[in-house]
Amino acid sequence: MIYEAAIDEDFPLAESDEVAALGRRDPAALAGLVERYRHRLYRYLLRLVKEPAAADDLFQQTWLNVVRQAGGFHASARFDTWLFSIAHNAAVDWLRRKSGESLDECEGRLAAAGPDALAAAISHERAEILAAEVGALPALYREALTLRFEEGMKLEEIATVTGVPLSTVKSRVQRALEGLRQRMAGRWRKEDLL
Amino acid sequence: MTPHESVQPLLALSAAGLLEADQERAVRQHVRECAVCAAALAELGELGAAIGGLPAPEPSDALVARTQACLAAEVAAATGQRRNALLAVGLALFAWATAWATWAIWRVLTEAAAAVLAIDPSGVFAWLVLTGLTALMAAPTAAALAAVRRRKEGNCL
Repeated sequence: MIYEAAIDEDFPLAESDEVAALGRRDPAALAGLVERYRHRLYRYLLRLVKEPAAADDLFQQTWLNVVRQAGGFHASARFDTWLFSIAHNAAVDWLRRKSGESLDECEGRLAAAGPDALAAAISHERAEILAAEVGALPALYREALTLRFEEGMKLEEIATVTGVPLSTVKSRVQRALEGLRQRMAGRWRKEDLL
Repeated sequence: MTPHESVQPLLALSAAGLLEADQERAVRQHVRECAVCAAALAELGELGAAIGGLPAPEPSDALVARTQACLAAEVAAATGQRRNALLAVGLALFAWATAWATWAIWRVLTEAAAAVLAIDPSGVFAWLVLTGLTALMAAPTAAALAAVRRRKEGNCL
């Protein structure tokens, strides 16, 4: 429905010859893949870990793991799903090492978190508010939202990347979006009153 | 449970495009009759669109260049390791063949010397000492080369 307007169907996907070259570990093809996916991968990592320095390290680590695990990639699979699942694993490890946040956080935390905040968020100010509210969500929910609305992944692809059942993906997206709506609604109304 | 109550939890999933076709039909039918759910669905849809339109953080060109260089080094190291493994196998075979040849030569020389000198050459023991010394010299050299390679490979991250 409405969400479709938000999802860019023209995401750059890997050329099949580049993916085939991955198996041969062709340096030129690898450089092409890094360039092709630089924006999407970095955005995903930064949304997940929130720290630019960590996102930089994880970006590099993800590509190293891609090369090291290239033998495990089947040409019939989607390269971007495989790439994001490697990035997911690297980010999960980082979040687990980092004190204070984990992908295993209780999903119930959402309802109790922070000041309420909804909006179409078209203006710059509202986009900043929305970005802050998305950033305040637990990592599980941030990941579900970014994979669905920024990466435009299908349900099955999100499940593959995150390694959870389809029902869990649905639950996370539903809770995250509904919770975000409540938070944004409260904040929007406050700003309109001022 | 009223239709309103049963549709409410589906609104976010509808806005995200994650519902099965029959569920999606039920939601669409309900929102035509329920202004509250129609408004909520519109808000959720706008929210999804806004998330998709958030400013995207950019990786620096330096990070991308560093990553590409790192991958090239990784590939070169992996290629070097495969080449080294093949070389090691070749050298082992060469060493094995050389050992047999040396043994035969050693036997001929020592037997000739023994015949001339009329002594017991103890050939096997002498040969083992000689080859063992060679191996002892080669092992630290191989370890040093491996350490240098590991240090070069470790510069990536």
